[in-house]
Amino acid sequence: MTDDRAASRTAAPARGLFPRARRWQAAFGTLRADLAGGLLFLALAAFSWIGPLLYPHDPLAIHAHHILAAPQARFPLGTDDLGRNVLARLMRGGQTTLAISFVASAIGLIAGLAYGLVAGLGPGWLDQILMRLLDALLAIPTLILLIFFAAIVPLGEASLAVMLGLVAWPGIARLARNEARAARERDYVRAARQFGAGRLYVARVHILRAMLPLVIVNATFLMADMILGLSGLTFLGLGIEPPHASWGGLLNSGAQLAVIDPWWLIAFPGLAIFLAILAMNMLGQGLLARLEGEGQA
Amino acid sequence: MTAGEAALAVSGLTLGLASGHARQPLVEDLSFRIGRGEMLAFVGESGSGKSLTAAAIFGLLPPGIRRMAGAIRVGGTELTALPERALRARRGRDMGLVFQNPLTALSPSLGVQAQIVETYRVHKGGTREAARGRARALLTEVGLSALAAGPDRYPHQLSGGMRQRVMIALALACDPGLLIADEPTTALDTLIQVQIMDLLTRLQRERGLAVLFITHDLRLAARYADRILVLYAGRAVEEGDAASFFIAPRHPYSRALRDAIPPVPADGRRLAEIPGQPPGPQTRIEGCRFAPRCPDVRDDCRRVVPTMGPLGVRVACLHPGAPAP
Amino acid sequence: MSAGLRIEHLSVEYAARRRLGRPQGDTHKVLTDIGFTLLAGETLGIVGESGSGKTTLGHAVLRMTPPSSGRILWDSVDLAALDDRGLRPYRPHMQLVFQDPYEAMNPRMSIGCVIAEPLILACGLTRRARRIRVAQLASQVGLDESLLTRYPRELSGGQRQRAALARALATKPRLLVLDEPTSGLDVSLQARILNLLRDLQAEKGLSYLFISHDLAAVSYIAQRTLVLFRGHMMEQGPTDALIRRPAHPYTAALLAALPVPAERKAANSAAEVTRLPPDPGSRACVYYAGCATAQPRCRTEAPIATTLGDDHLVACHYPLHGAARDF
Repeated sequence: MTDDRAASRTAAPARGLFPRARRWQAAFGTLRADLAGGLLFLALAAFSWIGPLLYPHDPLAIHAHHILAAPQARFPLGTDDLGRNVLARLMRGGQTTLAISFVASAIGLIAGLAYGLVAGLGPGWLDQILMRLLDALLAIPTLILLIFFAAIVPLGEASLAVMLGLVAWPGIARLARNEARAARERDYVRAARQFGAGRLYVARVHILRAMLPLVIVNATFLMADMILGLSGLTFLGLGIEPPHASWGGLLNSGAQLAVIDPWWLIAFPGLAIFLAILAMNMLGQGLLARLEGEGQA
Repeated sequence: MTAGEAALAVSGLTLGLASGHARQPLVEDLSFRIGRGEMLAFVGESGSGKSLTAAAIFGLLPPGIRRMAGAIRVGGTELTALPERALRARRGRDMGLVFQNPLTALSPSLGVQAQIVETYRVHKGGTREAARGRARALLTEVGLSALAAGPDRYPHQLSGGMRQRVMIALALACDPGLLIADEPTTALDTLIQVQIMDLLTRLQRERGLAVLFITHDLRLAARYADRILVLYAGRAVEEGDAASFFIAPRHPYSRALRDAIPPVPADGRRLAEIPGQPPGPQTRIEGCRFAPRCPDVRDDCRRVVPTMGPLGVRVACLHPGAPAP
Repeated sequence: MSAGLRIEHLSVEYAARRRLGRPQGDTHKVLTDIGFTLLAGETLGIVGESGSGKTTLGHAVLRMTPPSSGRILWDSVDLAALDDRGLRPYRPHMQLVFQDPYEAMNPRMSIGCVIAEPLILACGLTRRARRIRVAQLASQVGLDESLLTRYPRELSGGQRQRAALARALATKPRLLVLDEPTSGLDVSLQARILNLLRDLQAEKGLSYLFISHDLAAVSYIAQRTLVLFRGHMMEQGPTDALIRRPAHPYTAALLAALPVPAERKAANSAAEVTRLPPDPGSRACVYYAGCATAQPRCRTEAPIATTLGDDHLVACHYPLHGAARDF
């Protein structure tokens, strides 16, 4: 492009009838949600990856004399039923959970985008076929599908990520398809065609550009779903297998010992999952509000 | 100017942003009168404040915009002194409003006849039967006799011209003395535009209706209105008899507006352009607001604010052109 | 003499319904048997009301809408017979300025990028050369260079129209199709855009297809004018002759509807005509229902365009012969 700097420079603040109100809204109304969500997520990531550097304890080491110890100076978040350090396991579990969810979302995003773009930009008959296929897929409940996959595929971190991603893409695909359909009827796309643009150029420069923000927003929501899905699956014993640590797995071991009521085994991983999902939802909502504000200006 | 009580008299109307951020009022010190059976055209470009003035008269200013000064008398009643409740009652009864786009003003889920019946009953009460008869009479009056006799239709089933006729019938439902028509023909085809303007002038004559006709098209104003008032950046710059206005506008802005219209048939001359842009409410201009763009600007124009004077000399310019012979 | 563009018997029809890509049921004719010649450096005005097919005509000429029959001759090459690949070398020759410039610009691209787009697609200049060319194009249309970093929504209507023009000029076209280029603008802005169009034409020898509902704007800019009604040509000829001596009742009605201030509230021929429309599928003249001077013959037989001399064509059984219209 001629003006890369121009393109990357953010738009000047919108001039409206009420500059002060708009500025206030810009500063707090929308910024607050996505910024806070993003910071919260970064904090969780830092806890998972930088945390072990500051608190170097082996999450797999078994302290036989401290089985199910309540939080104390030596084990700030207590130990589990095998005497493993819960704080260390929470950190390692965060790595597993967040990384798998992230990769799964990325797979879902890319697969969904590709499928949606083909349907949205292809000829009408192809669109019809692809969309009916998608409907059929969506008719099967996600959890059933996951359990089915888990039964036939050997479980591992990579296969889990792929599996979750494959379950996640239909929503993104439908969104991408609808956005592409709408965008290709726009005059600026017709103008580009008149300048001799091919389908690929139009898809890359105009249609992707038009729908990417919305798709990215939805990918953040997807990430929240993935965290929940992975934790749920692990909780059911179908996800990450012991002895590897994950948030869902920690929660599971806590739930199984509910009779003894080791609250630290439920509260801390539960809180971590809750915060992670909250962070992604806040980020998504904030970005969405910002996007809509941009559309109105 | 007709003698006696005017149907609408506005004096010293000033509108501005409630937040006080603007350096300049959006409409400043605007005064005019419309007599019964008279059509006054407001002519101005977008941002001149013409629609805002109409909104102020109707009591429907957009949020954030406030009347800072001035009086609005409709049929002898001072509106600005009335409480909100009384004002609302008067809105549909004493004045009718016709918008540019009837599709947004009409309810999509109700037949047009039913809408007129509803409007009538809200303001005048009476039986449904009486209101229905009234609706039929109104539809016939605006040239929709087929619609008056036949089954009720939804707005989307009608053509653009028919919708605008319905809008006019709706505005007249309670026999108002004043009709405000805000760009009533801008969205319509040329041939339909003429029909709607003919209808408005006929109603004006037959009903003795005072019409405030808001338009950006000086030609339409000159052809249909009795008097023309030209607005520029929130200020009235000239008011005059429509017949002579087009021939000899006196304010440089009115002249520029006229000379920017392509003549039919073309005379081979280049269209006159007005350099620059109208100032927004954020720009403070000393003296005449048109001075920065005026071809005949002199030193005093940048210091002294020209005024229209009382209802006599109606050109707000320190050095106006010669009056019409 | 170089005939830039010659249109012969051009028709466009849409299938009423499509299912799995195949047309189903009746077709809907949007344009029927249109023909005209546009010389290099000249302007042809296309006048019509909504639903007249004037926008479709502009799109069909550029092959943005496929014609169902007819020829589009550009330098004696029939564009209607070419496929997408064959059209590619001709695309830069002709450009469209869309009716709504805002809709025609990607809201997420800066104005500079919008103008540069055809340069990237059609000209393959280096980044540096593109930047220079964009600045040059902007100055040609009177667009301030500081606006190039802004986004479409930050510009005023007149500025957007200038940017749209700059983009259309980027490929150095010889023909511009201008679709209602001034309809959303205030009078003073309209005058500036019309003057700009005239200057650009004089400077570059451009041909314009000027589509408008406004006869006044057309009379200012077009040497020749074609009047469309429901996809049919009613009349075409030199603009001056057409305005001074309209031969078709529809042209006369359009002229009478022009708000000419001198004729205050005069009765005009645009008064409502309440004749029943002819049966669909009958051979009646398309203007029959609205015509003030229709005769029985008009209901049973569609008129064929006949010449009145001087390149003046009219599609009417009973063209008006009255004295020249007095202005």
